[in-house]
Amino acid sequence: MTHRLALTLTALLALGCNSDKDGDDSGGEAVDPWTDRAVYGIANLDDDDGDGAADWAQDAEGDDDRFGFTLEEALFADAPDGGVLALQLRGNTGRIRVLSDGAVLLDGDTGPVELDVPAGDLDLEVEFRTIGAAGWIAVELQDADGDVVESMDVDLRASPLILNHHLQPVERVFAMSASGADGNQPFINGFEDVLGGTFEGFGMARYGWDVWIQDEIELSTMTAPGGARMDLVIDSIRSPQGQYLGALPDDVFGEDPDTVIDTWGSGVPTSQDSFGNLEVSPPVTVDGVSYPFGRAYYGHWFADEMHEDMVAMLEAQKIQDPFELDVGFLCVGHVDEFTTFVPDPSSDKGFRFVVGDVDLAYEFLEAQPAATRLPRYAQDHGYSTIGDIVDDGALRAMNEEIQADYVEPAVEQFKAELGLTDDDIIRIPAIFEEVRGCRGSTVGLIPGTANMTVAPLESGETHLFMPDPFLRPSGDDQGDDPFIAEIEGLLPEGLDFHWLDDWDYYHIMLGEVHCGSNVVRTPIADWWDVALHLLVDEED
Amino acid sequence: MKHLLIICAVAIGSTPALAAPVSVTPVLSDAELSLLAGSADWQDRQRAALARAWQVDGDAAAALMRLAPGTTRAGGPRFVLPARDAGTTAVLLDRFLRGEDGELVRAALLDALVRTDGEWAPGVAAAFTSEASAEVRVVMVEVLRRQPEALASPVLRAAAKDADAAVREASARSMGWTEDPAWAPQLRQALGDTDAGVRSAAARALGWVGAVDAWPALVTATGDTDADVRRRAVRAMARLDAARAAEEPAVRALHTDPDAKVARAARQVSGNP
Repeated sequence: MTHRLALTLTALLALGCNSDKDGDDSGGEAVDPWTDRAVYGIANLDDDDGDGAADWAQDAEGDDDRFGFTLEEALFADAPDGGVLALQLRGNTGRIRVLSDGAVLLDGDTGPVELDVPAGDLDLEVEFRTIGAAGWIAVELQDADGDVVESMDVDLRASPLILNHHLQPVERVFAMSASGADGNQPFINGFEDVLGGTFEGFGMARYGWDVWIQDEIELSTMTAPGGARMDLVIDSIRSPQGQYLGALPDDVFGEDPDTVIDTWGSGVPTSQDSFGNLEVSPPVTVDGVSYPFGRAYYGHWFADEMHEDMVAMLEAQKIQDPFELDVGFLCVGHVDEFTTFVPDPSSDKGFRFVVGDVDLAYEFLEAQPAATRLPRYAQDHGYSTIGDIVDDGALRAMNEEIQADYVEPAVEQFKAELGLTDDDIIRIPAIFEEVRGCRGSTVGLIPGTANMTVAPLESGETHLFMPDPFLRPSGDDQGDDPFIAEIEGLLPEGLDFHWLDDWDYYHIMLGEVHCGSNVVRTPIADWWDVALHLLVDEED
Repeated sequence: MKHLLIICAVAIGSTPALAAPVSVTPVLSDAELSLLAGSADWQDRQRAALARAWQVDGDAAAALMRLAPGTTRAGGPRFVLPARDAGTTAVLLDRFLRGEDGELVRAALLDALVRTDGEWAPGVAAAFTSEASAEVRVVMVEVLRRQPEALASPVLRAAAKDADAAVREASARSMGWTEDPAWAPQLRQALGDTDAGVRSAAARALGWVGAVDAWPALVTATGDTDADVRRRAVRAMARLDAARAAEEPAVRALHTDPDAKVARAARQVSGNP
């Protein structure tokens, strides 16, 4: 793990006036040490000794994923003669163990135990087997007759798996790279020039020329008090494990003892199993319920859905309560093709929801000179001028129906699921075209701007990497591109815009900048402080 | 099937190099080539263009014959073209007509041809009826739909009677893209197809081509068992006559349709979103 763990004993409740066990009603602030507590940790999924086996399954050297806590001496100050300390593990007992001096004291098979009342502090450790494992230790001080003199619960909870959202600072940004005349250096350089060492390109030749790194892995974290952190790379089932991009997680993260790689699902994948189809909103409050880590969302394409194991895993985390969108109008079928979130300090919520909008696109295009030549579009889309696009009645009809039947319902759903208002939403021009061989479903005709990589830095700068729309007669001069000017005028102030040439490697291949990149981000909130209301239920 | 396994696509991408095309006659003189290029027969023109391509740059032509497609984000193959000139067209058309690639690559070759500058449509149109792969026939229909009527119409008509529903659906969809009301009779017929995808495409296309006479057929379609058909019938009526659609009882009856998208569309068309 990234940081050595500190003790994580946390008092859940400070004693109040009505809990004074000494009967002292003088208004004093005496605190009863027999107060419920909690230990928060992280599932011991990693392999700190690098022997190829998860540390939970062994007594691993260097294991730093056991979470210590102390039953302090003061608890036993008034212990009766002949009394005992009784400890019982409850809840997910098969997924938690409590250790004393490195030996198992309590787990699914061991306990309850009765100990002699300790003469001093009793140091214990908790280890979690699974993500989100929860239980508690019922602690009782009993007298010689077995009657309970004092009692308390020590809640035990492992971190949920938390997916990243766009307000979190970036630590590493990835893309697939190919050098040479036919390579994607303009795309790579666009990241590298801005991000420097924060950006890494991986040679795509080793990975079967698969550039869709967004789709292959989802980067997530688990945290605990004291700065404890474990990263979990979710490896999609879209490519076979160890082959093509399926080999990348091991190559890039395999040697990191603080990062684990896992996969949910198996069998024949669909495009819905790609992680461009899994995004997370920034923190929101919906109908009075706070989601400090945002909410996850993904799309279904007619009967094709994200693998049920993956969905079940996301739902089990509770903390980012996922919802599903209808993306049946998109050939690729990913939510990142037409929606995103960008930071905006001027907004009450700190962000804006960005969504592609067909009506706005036609409004924009109709305001441009119809004769504006579009060499890139002539080559690859069959439209030589802006007028050609505007005047294509069938294209317009199709786009109007997409707006009415898919985009607007999606906007309404985002508003309802995330508690957004119209003020929270920025609509940007977007226009879709049919993809040949894709049963009439579509992809962005103008490179989809919402498919951007959002990169806030620790320095406070936020960089947006977006696909160059090339909606201009000239090739290189982005200053002449009215679409770029339009978008920059619509997005929040204070963001740094970078328009990357992704045309041949990505746009033509039905993806854009976000599809071709991925980001490791820094956790910026503590779930045990701000999200227990989403995790604790009556079962616990 | 829309979603393809990446493994398949990558394997497709490594299609081995093909032999030199047998149809090339490298010894044709400029005069002979010019004569062929001016022929009324597309096959002569293709021979001329192909021969020229091999004569001008045989290495480039050979590279095109073995060019492997990349993998789109949807998992299918698509070509990034090194050149768009008429020679590229001729070589890729030749490669397509040979039929030696797998069906997905052949479909991708069609998509590539559209993005080149040379003449490809007559060759593709001529090959339609003998094409064995439905997957390829679908894309043939799609690439031809906006070609001159003499080329497109026979293919769209033949596709409308195809044994494969995906091809019939592509035909109905493509008739819509022509925006030509002359397709209304065929589309009305397609509205009665056994396949819901065909009916849905036909309903939409009737609106796009402005088939006002299809109103009764569209009203019937609002009672279709398939939600997409009902929704598109509603949208088509609104496109044909928004005011009439707003008052249409069949549309109002869908305000409470069990499918949320249908109900939403119906309410919207009725001015009651």
